[in-house]
Amino acid sequence: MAQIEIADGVGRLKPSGPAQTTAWDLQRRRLTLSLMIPPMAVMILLFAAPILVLVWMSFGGGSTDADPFAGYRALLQPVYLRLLGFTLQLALTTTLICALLAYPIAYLMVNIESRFTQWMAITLFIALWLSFLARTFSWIIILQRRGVVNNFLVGTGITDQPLELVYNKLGVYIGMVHILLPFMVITLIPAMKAIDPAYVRAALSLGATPAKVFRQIYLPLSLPGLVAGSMLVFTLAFGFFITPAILGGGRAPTIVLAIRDQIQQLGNLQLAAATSMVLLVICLGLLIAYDRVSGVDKLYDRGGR
Amino acid sequence: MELLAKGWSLTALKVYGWVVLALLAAPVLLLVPISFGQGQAITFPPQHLSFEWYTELVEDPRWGRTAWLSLQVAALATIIATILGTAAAIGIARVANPKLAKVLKMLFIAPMIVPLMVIGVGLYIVFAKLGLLGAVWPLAFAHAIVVLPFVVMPVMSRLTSLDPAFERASASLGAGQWWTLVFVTLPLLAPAIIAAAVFAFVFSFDEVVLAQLLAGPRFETLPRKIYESLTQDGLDKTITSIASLQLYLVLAGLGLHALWRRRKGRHKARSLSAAASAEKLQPDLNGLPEAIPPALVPLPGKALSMKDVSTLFPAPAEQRGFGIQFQRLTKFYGDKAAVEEADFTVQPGEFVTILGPSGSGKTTLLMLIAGFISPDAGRLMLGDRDISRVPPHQRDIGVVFQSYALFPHMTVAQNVAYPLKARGIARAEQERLVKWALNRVHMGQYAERRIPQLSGGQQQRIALARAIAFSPRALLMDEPLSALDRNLRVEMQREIRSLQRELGQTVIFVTHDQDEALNMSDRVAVMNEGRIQQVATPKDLYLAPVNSFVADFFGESNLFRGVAHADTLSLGGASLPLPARKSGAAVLCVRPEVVRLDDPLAPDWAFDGTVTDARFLGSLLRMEFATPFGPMVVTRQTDGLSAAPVVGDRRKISWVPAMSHVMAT
Repeated sequence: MAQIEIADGVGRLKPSGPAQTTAWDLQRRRLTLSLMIPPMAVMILLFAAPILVLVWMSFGGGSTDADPFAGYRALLQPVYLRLLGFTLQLALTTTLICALLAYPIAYLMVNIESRFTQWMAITLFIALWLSFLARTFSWIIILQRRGVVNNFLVGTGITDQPLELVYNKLGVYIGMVHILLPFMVITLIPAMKAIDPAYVRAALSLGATPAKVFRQIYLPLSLPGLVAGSMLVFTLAFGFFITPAILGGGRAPTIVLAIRDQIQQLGNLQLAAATSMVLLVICLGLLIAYDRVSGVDKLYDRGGR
Repeated sequence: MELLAKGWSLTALKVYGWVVLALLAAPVLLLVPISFGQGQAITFPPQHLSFEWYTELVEDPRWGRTAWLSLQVAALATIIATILGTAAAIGIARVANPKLAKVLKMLFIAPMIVPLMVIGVGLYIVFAKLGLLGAVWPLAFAHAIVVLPFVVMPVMSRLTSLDPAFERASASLGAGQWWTLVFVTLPLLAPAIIAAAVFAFVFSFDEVVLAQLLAGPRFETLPRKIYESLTQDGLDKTITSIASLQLYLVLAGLGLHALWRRRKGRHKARSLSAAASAEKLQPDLNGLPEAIPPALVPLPGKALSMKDVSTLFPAPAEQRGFGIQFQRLTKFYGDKAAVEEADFTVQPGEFVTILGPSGSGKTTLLMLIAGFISPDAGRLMLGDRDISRVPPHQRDIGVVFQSYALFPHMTVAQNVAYPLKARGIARAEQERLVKWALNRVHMGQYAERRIPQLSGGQQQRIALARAIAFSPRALLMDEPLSALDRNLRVEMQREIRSLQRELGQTVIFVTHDQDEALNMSDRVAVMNEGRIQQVATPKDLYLAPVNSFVADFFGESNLFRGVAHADTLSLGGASLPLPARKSGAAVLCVRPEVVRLDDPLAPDWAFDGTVTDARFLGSLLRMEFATPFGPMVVTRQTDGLSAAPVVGDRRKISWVPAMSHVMAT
């Protein structure tokens, strides 16, 4: 204490300068630090380090005989460009369909007190907690050649031949939308709940038609939720493995499936690492773009579940 | 919410909603009847029912083995992710530097954004080099990393929705940082942590990509086995029973959750109605503390007479409070002084109110006293002890917060016992002190209540009890009555005052309400723009304000700015008499009630005014005049005799110079 008192001489007035740290500040900082050290250590060791290794590996992994750019050069083959194109198209289409389907659902759940809200909440809960595998599997049962839909179509004579509904791109789209739709809805709900009903009432009282109020007031206010949900669904769809692998039946190859094959069948780690880099750059670019548009902080204070 | 869809469009919207619901639910529910079908064929509806696909699960040991392995991995991953994620969420929320906090937020979101396959390949290369493939721990850690964002985000979102006053309250009650973390922050985060843990478990128990890459050929987790039977052997019907079992578990969890919520809701409703009825009866059933003669305790709901309240109270029975000395205490924010050279002394047992408009620096001053921020210059003495650099939990100052900051996860008694526990006081003594403190605020029978079951006034009392339970050296109150309605506020003012006198407690009370300051304080410190303008008794503040700000802020006044020569003030060619000799620029303050209208003995300097407004304010008649010196306010007691003037009337305005007051600025 004595030192501080001397250093602190009464009556000295500093116009500005760094705030003096006290025992309280020090304790706060020490606790923050001890809380952050374990997660940071694990993140660095098991997330940042492997990604750095991946970067290193994509340039040949230090072997002197190999061409350091062989992996990236191989990626310029049309087959990989097509793969990347299809993956982006799949992710974008899925995101768009999910947004269109989910918006009215979220609107209904937030704005109408009814049995629908309860039942939908239960359904979403089940959909989110039940395994992706089980949900993907059930679509095979429904869509396969002798599945529920085809049995019905052939049985009632609507079609003569069973339709090809699964083990192709159509099957992947159906499965992806089904699995990712709940994510979009649960991101939209808090964003819509945060809209003060007074805005809508005010706009209506000022003479705007309901359609105008929706377009000019409600939609813009709910846009942050839509952006956050789209971001979530897009990144999940972009890197999705289970559904394209199972429902695609080899006819809907995505870039993620290609990486798996590069490792398990070709055993070409450099190529796999280079392909991963492309995915990584796209996804991190998206994260930064999202941060610019709506701020990463928003993801952290959505007001809980 | 006003609906923007009506009539047929609303119907269409609803139909659409139910169709989507059916499409979402049907594929999942379909699995259940199929899992009970007999034979290999996957048919819907099944022809013959059987349990064979459930018994298959038990009979074939491979399913059990893979499930057990997955369970181990998932349990470990859940523990790791929950601990690390919670620590990271709390840690990031405490990082003061916004740029660093942002980088950390981006980093901890990244595992959600980066595709699993990319993380998987990276980990595969590293684990292969280190020989860690095909083991439980490395896979669990890998799952934990990927699921970390789904723990950090909800926990942090819950954290930001909590009142920051909780942490401050805990510190002011004597708890250190770790104590606060364990007993306040973590319990309040529990719902989010539990939800995150369940999500982490479900994720890990269902994860295929990492399991494929990081597990060796002899290390098969359940999802990996399911995945392989889906892609290679055609369709293994056992999967329908596994998926159905998962569904049953989810439904059971959902049912339990609903049951728990309903029970909690009922419990809450019951005790709320009990609280409401108890409150009505309160004056009759209060256990009055025996030490105090009943007459001295102002009963809730029963107003005291209008006599000077202070004569009712004897000298304090005890003298608990310490004196507080502000020695040129200064705090800067950037280049702006939030508090500038606060320099005054609060006597032991004195009730001092800090009064000022919002933004005047009174909250900063309070934070300086409580110790949540530290001064840039000057000293703060509590008794003989310099506490300028003492952390809040070692200051022994009881703080009552504006939001009360009562811990919602504890009962009333636990809240009041909190400062005693933090000080390691023996249990029996704790109980005695809790009882004493609750009785002091007439809340003796509410000890076992939960905080959300109390009304605003009751919460206010508990906050007070908690702040006095550990016999603090001083009490600090931050606009504690602002959330109460008017009648309750007046009643609480009286109770706080009487409690303060009984305990001989030093109180610093912060408010922006001058009536409150007038009602309660021994002295009032008026603050503006970071400076203490004047510290004086309410009477002195009113009759002898040091400057025009105090004169204007503390009661209404008519101010005349001019130049003083001896005992006259010249302004705009006219001159007015001063109550004292003065020279240079001066401000003359004339309170509205001392102005005389059409006084027969009016002096020759009296001037004319025209009534522009006259209002009846209950006991007062308030008039506004247009005068050569600008607008003036005049008040009169409404005695029912004198007629109120009408707008446009002219009156001669004067006053007795001795009743006015002159200031330099």
